[in-house]
Parts: sequence; structure tokens; C-alpha cells
Amino acid sequence: MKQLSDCRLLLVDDAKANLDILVAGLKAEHKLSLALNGEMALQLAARTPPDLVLLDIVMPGLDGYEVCRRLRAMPETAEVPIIFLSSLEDVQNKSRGFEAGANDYVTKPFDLLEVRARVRALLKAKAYSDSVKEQLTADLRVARDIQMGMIPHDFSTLEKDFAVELAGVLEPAREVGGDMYGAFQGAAGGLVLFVGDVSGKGIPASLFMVRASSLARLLGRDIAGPERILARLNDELSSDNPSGMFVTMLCVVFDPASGRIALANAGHNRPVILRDGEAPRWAVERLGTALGFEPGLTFELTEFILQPGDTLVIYTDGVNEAFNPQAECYGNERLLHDLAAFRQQPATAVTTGMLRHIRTFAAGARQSDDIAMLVLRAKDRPVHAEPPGRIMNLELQAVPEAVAHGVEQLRLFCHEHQVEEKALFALALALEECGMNVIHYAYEDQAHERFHVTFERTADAVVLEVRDHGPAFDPTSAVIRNLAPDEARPPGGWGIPLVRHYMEEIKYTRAGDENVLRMHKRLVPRAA
Amino acid sequence: MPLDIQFKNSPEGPRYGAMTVELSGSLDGATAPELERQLTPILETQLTDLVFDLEKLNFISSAGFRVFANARKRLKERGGQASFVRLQPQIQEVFEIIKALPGIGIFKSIEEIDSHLALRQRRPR
Repeated sequence: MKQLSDCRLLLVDDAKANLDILVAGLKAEHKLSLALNGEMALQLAARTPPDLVLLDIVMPGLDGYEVCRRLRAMPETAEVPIIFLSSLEDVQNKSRGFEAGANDYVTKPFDLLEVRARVRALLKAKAYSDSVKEQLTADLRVARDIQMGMIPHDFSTLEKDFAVELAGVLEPAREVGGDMYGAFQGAAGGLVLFVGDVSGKGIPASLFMVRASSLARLLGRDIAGPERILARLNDELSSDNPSGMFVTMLCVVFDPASGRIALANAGHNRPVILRDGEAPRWAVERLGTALGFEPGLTFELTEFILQPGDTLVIYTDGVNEAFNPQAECYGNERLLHDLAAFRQQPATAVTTGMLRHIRTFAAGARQSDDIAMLVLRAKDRPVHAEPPGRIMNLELQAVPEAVAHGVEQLRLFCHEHQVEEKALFALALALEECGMNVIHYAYEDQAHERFHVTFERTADAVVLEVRDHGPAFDPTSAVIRNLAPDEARPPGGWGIPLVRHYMEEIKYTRAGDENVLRMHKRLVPRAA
Repeated sequence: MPLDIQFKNSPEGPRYGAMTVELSGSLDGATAPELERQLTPILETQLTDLVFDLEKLNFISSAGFRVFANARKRLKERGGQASFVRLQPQIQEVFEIIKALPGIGIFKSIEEIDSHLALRQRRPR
């Protein structure tokens, strides 16, 4: 906090005698700037912004009211404490002074003791409010960093894996905001994209945004199908939602092999498709209901093919509802018109170009709403290339039903990635046996325990990895019991030999407190 | 994938006195306990022949296999037999790898199991 003696006072009075008295009375305690008229006061204030202004009202040229109004209009002095010093002592003049923006009013002839006391009181109040603001600004800066850190910025891995271009931009109207987007690999191996907009702005919206965005990413990794992701997200958000906030969201799943887009809308702005030689058009007509109102809602699924070269533009209403100083809205027509220029342009050209269009339109008007945009552009699909690697991660509870769920997910994964039925059966059996062993032996039927399963489709194999944090156990070194008839064989004794029979390669490692079992199932090359 | 279990009595014909169990779906760690539960009272009776019809069984794991092994053991104790008919190829392969059920009958068709059972009925116990 600034020392009171370091504070600079600007004294404004056209009577030099008055200034002299003030100088004599205040120079010991503060730094002083002196002005004999309004123009000079404004110049001084602009050059060296004071910490407080003592202002005479009746002066030739600009009077005190006008100087006060102009000081309030200048950013550097908008919040500076101003005390009127005037012989106009009737109530009308005083209230006019406060209306012009003054903080205090002292009538002449004044008592220096009183002036000094009022100056000190106002400087202290100002210093206190400054420090609160500084703290808040510092907190908001950190909050902004955290929020921006949740938004993906580097799409290079996804772009490579899915043969697409991606670009995203997020510009909160204030330090923090309620807009969000996400992009990641989903449950069935597709590319999941979402863009959302929380009701309201600022800190409340940003808190809800963090909740919605985190949940969307978690659910999107486990659940296949955008309409099901939104339904589950809605169930989660609408329970325990005392603030009654809601979020509009658009969820898209892109399948790189077929170019198929699956899309569901929860009350969000309609995304736009850009295709060479065609006018930009809405990708979906229906809006649907926003998330967070009531559980149990269902969402409509829309599907279409994104041809190589096609671009899907998803955005929040900070884009089409940007305003200019004449309070005109950017609007859907301008949006479609301006987007036409970006057909056959890279994804990043769309985000930067559209931001430029919006700024040009706004012409300096303060950004009224958060702006977010996420752009997906399909590149040419490789015709003969090996299918690219695909990974799916699952976290399963240590109960047989969860293992069965894992096997179901594996089945979907294998169908998605052209794995033949025979290999699928072998993989399903290996997952079932390893999963049951984890439940019974690693965790001794403790149902609250969890373990991890990963499927990875490489060019010529599927790699199955099972990780648990039970006691170290290496099944590959376990003695294989004779497979001959054995009435006394303990339960589970068949599991490991079966896995060994069906998997070409099994590798065990103990990583930290985890058992990691990695198994390869080679795939028969498909006839061309 | 769930498991559907259907029990069928054979009051007459070649399968007289045998109980047929039709399984469809997946016999795994999640579904095996239910089959075990439903088989328990049947194994308490004096029944000697249990025929598992696996035409619609797509998946089996060792947890499922264990239910078969237990049933077979109980039947054998009283001179009975567990038979398996119409196995899908991948199920047949698991049976072959495990090779752990001596004395079970595996049959390709209903006709085959029926003539086998007819023979057993005539044989003195």
C-alpha cells in the first residue's frame, strides 16, 4: 500500500491566495501539484496522475464541475478521489458536485485541520479499495491461467491420428468466462469435439464451465455416441445444481475411417458446414434443450459425412452476437456470408479470419460475451495406408459385471477397427480371464478396487494391457499346471493357460505398485 | 452379453430321464454364478443325464467352464454323465484346449446325442 506521504495531491484554484494557504497546510504531508485553472489541471492530471484532487468550482474557463466530469472520463483519473472546495454552500451546489463525480465537499472558508483529515480519510479508503482490487486481479489472473489450461491448444497429435485439421480459439469477455471447447479421442476410437457456453459470465459461469468441461471429457472417453454423452452429462449437471445454471453444448464424434459425423445439440448455436462450391449451411436445424435443467432428457442424433476438404465450424454466441458501437448485432447472415470466404481454407485461417471479421465489425465496442470457436476440417483420407493406431482406455471396478462391460467395449472397439471375429474371441477371452484373476486374486474380491484396461489397434495386431495395483504377481513365470484331467484343480487354474494359448506374446512388468500385463494378438492380414 | 438359460425335461422319447439345458449368450465370470445357482437344485435330484445344448452360446471363459466341471463331477458320482451338443467352433476350441473333462460326451447334432442317450438308457447301470 502507498504511504500517505508519497501521495500526490492536485490543488486547483484560480485564487493564488487560496493555493498558498493549502500549500502551506499540506506540503509537509504530501507531494503537491498546483493548477490555476481547469485546462491546466487536466494537463497536469494527464501527465502525472494525482492520488487526490482538491478542486475549486467557480473558475474562469472550465469550471470545477466540468473538470471533475473530464477527470472521471480519463482512464488514469477515473477513480481518483476528488474533493470540491467551494464557497457555494447551498445544497443544490453540493449535490451537483457529487453528481459530477466528487467524493467530498468542503465549504470555504475552510479549516485546514478539517481539509487534512478529509484528505487522509479519502486516501486511506482509496488505498484499501486499490489493494482489494489488486488481490482480486491477481486471483483472477491465476484463475484465467487454470481455465485456459483446461482448453486444448496443441492439436498436432489428434490431427495426425485422425487425418484432420483442428483449430480452436477462446476469448473470455472478462478475465474468466463460461465458454469452453474440447477435443480428444473417444470411447469407440472416434474424435470427440464439444463446444459449450454456460449461462452468464464471469466467475460463476467459469466455475460451472470447469465442472461441465471436466465431466464432458470424462464421459466422452467412456461413452460412445454424442447423444448419449449429452444425456449423461445432463443427468450429472442437473443433479446438485442449486444455482440453476445451465450450459448449451454441441457434441460431435468424427469417425476418420468413414468420415461420418455424429452430432447432438443441447440448445447450442447451430454449427456451419463449409464445402467447396456450395453456400455455407447449417449442419443441423434443431437446437434441443440446454443441459442442467432436469435429468432424464434425451437428445437427437444427426449424422452426415464430412467429405475430404469439408469444414465444420462450431462456435458460441459471442461470435454471431457480437455488437458494434451502434448496438447492431453481427448476426447469422453476416456469419454465413463471411464464412463463405473460408471454404477450402485451412482450419486455423477460419478461426483467425473470423476473429478479425468480428473485431472489424465491433469497431472497438467492448466485447460483450465470451467468444469460442472450434473448427474441424477433414483432409483426404488415405486409401491404401495401414489403419493408424487407435487406443481405448477403460477404468473398471473390480466386479465381474465391469469385466463384462469391458468385454463389450472391446467388442465395439474391434468392430470399429476391422478386427476379425476369431481374434476378437481370443481377445475377449484374454480380457475376461485376466479381469477375473485381478478381481479374485489381486484384489481378493474387494469390489471397491479398480483396475485399468487399454486396447490398442496397431497396424498388424491388437495390444491388450491390464493394470492392477494388487500384490506383485507374474503370471508368465507361474508354473503351468498340467492341462490333463485334474479334479482338484483350483478355480482360475485354467485362465492363464487359456490366455497363453490365444495370445502370441505376453509380457509382465511391475511398474511402481502396478502389475502390468501386456498381450499381443496378431491379426491375419486381410485379403485386398 | 447376458446369458439366457432354458431347462427342458424329456418326459418321453430317446432322451427320457435326461434334462436339457439350452444356453445362449455368454457364459463368463458375470453370468456363471446364475447358471450355478439354477443348476444346484437339479443336481440335488437323482437325475443322471444332463445335456447342455450350446448352439447359441457365443462365448465361454474358465469361470463358465468351472460350472460344467462341477456339474459333471456331481453326475459322475452317481454314475451319470454330462453331455454337450452343438458347440460353436470357438467354444469347441476352448473345450479342446482345456481337455479337462474326461468322460464327457461332445456331440455335433441332436440326432447324435439322442442315439447316444438311447444306448445309455438300454445299458444296465
